[in-house]
Amino acid sequence: MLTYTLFPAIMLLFFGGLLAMWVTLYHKPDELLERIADRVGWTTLALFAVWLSILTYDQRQIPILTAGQISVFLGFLIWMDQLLVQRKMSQRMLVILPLVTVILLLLAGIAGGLHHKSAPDELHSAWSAVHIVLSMAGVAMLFGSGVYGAGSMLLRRELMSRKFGRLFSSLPSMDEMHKLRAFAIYFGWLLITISFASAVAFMFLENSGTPSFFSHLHEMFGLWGAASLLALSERFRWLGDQKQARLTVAMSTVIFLLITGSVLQIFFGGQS
Amino acid sequence: MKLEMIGLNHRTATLSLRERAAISPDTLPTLLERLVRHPNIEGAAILSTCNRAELYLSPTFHFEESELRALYAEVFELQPEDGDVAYVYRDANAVKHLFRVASGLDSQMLGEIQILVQVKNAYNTALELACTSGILNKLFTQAIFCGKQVRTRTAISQGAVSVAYAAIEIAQRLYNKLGEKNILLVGAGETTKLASKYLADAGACNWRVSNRTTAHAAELAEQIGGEITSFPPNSEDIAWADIVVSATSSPSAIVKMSECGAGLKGRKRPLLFLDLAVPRDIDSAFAERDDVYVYTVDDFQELVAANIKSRQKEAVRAEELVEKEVHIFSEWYRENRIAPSIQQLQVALETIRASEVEQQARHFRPEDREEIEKFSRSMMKKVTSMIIANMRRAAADGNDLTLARAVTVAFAGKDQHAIDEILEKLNHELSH
Repeated sequence: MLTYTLFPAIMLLFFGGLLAMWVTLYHKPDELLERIADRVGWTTLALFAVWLSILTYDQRQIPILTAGQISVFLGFLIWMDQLLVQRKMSQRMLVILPLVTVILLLLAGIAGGLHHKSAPDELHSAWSAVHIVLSMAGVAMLFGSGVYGAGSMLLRRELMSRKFGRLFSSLPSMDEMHKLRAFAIYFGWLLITISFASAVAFMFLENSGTPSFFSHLHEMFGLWGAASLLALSERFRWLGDQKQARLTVAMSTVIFLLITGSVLQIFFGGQS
Repeated sequence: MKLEMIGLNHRTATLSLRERAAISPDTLPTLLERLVRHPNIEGAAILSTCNRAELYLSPTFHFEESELRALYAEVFELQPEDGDVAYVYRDANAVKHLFRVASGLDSQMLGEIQILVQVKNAYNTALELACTSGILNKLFTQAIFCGKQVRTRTAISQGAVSVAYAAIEIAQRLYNKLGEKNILLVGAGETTKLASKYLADAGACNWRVSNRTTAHAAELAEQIGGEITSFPPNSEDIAWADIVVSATSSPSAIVKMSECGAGLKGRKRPLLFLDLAVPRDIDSAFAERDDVYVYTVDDFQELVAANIKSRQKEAVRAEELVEKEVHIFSEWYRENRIAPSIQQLQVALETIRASEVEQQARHFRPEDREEIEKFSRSMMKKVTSMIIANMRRAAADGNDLTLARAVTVAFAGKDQHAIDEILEKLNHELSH
C-alpha cells in the first residue's frame, strides 16, 4: 500500500523542495546551496528508483501497466537525463523547466491511477516492456532537446535585448546548448527508432503476422516521423541555429502530445 | 580582545602616499622580525598591495593611538604626520575590517579576487617567519575562509567590470570553447591588442588580422600566431570568422553589409561582432540577421553597469556573511581566552588521577589495571567537562572570568610564575 500512497507523497515533497531550492538559486546565486541542491537531486533520483523497483517487484512488471505508471516512469527518465547532463555542466536555469515537468507528470500519474488491476494483457509481456521503456527514454531525450532549444531562444532574447539580467549570466553558452540539443535529438531518435522496430517485430511475432491489434500505430508512426524530421534537420543543418532551436521546441511539444495520445490510446482506446 | 590594525587605502590616501607606503617583498621579513621584537607585540602581519598598506598586530597590552600611529609611520618609513591619515581599528572592528578586505568589500573594484590571494600571501609570509601569534593565526585563517565563503555563496565576483572584459564575457555566452572558434581582428591598435590578449587568455588561438597598415597587422599576427588578411576584410573572411573584433579609428563603417554580406550566404552557425570602435566599424545592417549578434561600446558599458549593480546588490549579502564570521570569531575568542586555565585544570587533574591509580594499583590484580585506568579516566573526564562547560558558559554569556580565576588558583601547581601569567592575562581581559 505504501508504494501507492507514501512513496508518491515523498517524491512530491522532494521535488517540491528541489523546485524551491532552484528558484531561490535563480534569485540568489549560492554555490553551497547549489551543491546541496545537486546532492538532493541525486538522492531524489535514488528514492525514485527505489520506489519504481518496489513497484516493479510488486506487480512483476516495470511501471507500464497504467497510464499513471507510465507518466511517473517518464518523469523518472526525464529527471535522470537532467542529472546526467548537469554533471557535465552548470545549467542552473535549465533545471527549473524539467523539475516543473516532473512534478506535473507525478501529479498526472497519481491522478491517472497507479494501481494495475485491469491492465491490458499484452502489457505484461517482456516485448511491451522493451518497447515502452525505449519509447519513454527516447521521449525523455527529445524533451531534453526541447529544453535546450528553449534555453537557446531565451539566451538569444537576452543577448538581443541587451538586458544582461540573471538569465544572461545563468544560462549555459549558446554553443553548449546547441551541442546538448543535437546529442539529445540523435539519441532520442535512435531510441524511438529501436522502440518502433521492436514494436513491429512484437506485432508480427506475437500475432503470426497479423498487425490487427496495434492500437496506437498512427500516433507512434507520427512520433517517429517527427523525431526523424528533427534529426535530419539537425544533421544536415537545414536551418540556422535559432530556427533549428524553434523547430526543436515545436517538435518536442508535438512529440510529447503524441506520446500522451499513444498512452491514452493504449489504455482508453478500446482495442488494445 | 587583543587585536589592533592600522593602515591606509585608496579611500584615505593619495596615490603618492600609497606609493611611499608600499613595502617590497624583500624588506617585508626584516620589518616583521623587527616588529615582533617589540616588547609589547606578540604577533604581526603586514598587508601591502597597490591600494593598501595595513599592519595587523596582537599586542600584549593595547597601544595608545598616538603610539600606534608613530609605530606605523616608522614601519612604513613615512613622515610622522602621514601616520595621522591612517585608520585604526581595534578588536572586533579590526576583525571585521580584515574580513571585509578579504571578501573584496573594501576593494576599489567591489568583489575583486586578487585581494584574497594577497591576504593569503601576507599571512603565509608572517607565518613562515614565525611572526604570528595564536590570535593572528585564527584571524587570518578565518579571514581567508570568509573571503572564500563570500565568493562562493554570493555572486559578488561575477561579471566583467571593464569594457574589454565585457566583450569577452559576451563572446563566452555564445561560445563555450573559444579555442575552437575563428577570430578576425580588424585594426591592430592598443584596443585590439588588449582584446586579443583577453581572448587568448580565454583560450582563443585561430586568428586573422586585417589592418590598414600591413606592417602593423603582420606584427600583431606574429605576436598571436595568426595570419594577415586584406583590409577591409572581405566576404571570405566573414564566412570564415565566428567572432569579429573591430577597433579602428575609421570615421565610417569598415565592415559593410554591401561588401561582406555574401559571406553570410548559407551560413548556419552564429556570428558575433564585437565593435570596440567609436565611431562604429560594423555596419548596423548585420544586426538584422537571425544568427548574427552585433555589440558596440554602448552595449559593453551597459553590461559593465549591470554587473556593477549586481555586485552592489550581492554586497549586502556579503556583509551579512562577514557579520556572521565576525560573530563566530568573537565567540571563539571569548572561549579561547580561558584556554590556559582549562589546560592547567586538565594537567592538574590528570596528575592526581595518574598518581592515585599508581598508588592503588597494588590492591588490584594486574589484569584489572586496564579497567581501573578506563574507569578513572572516564570519571575524571566527566568532572573536568562539567567544570570546563561552566567556565566557558560564564566566560561567553556573562563575560565572567571569576570562575576561570578561581579554578586557576584552586588547581595551582608549583610553577607560581605560570599561574601569575595566566592570572595577569585574565585580569587584562577583564579590564577590556
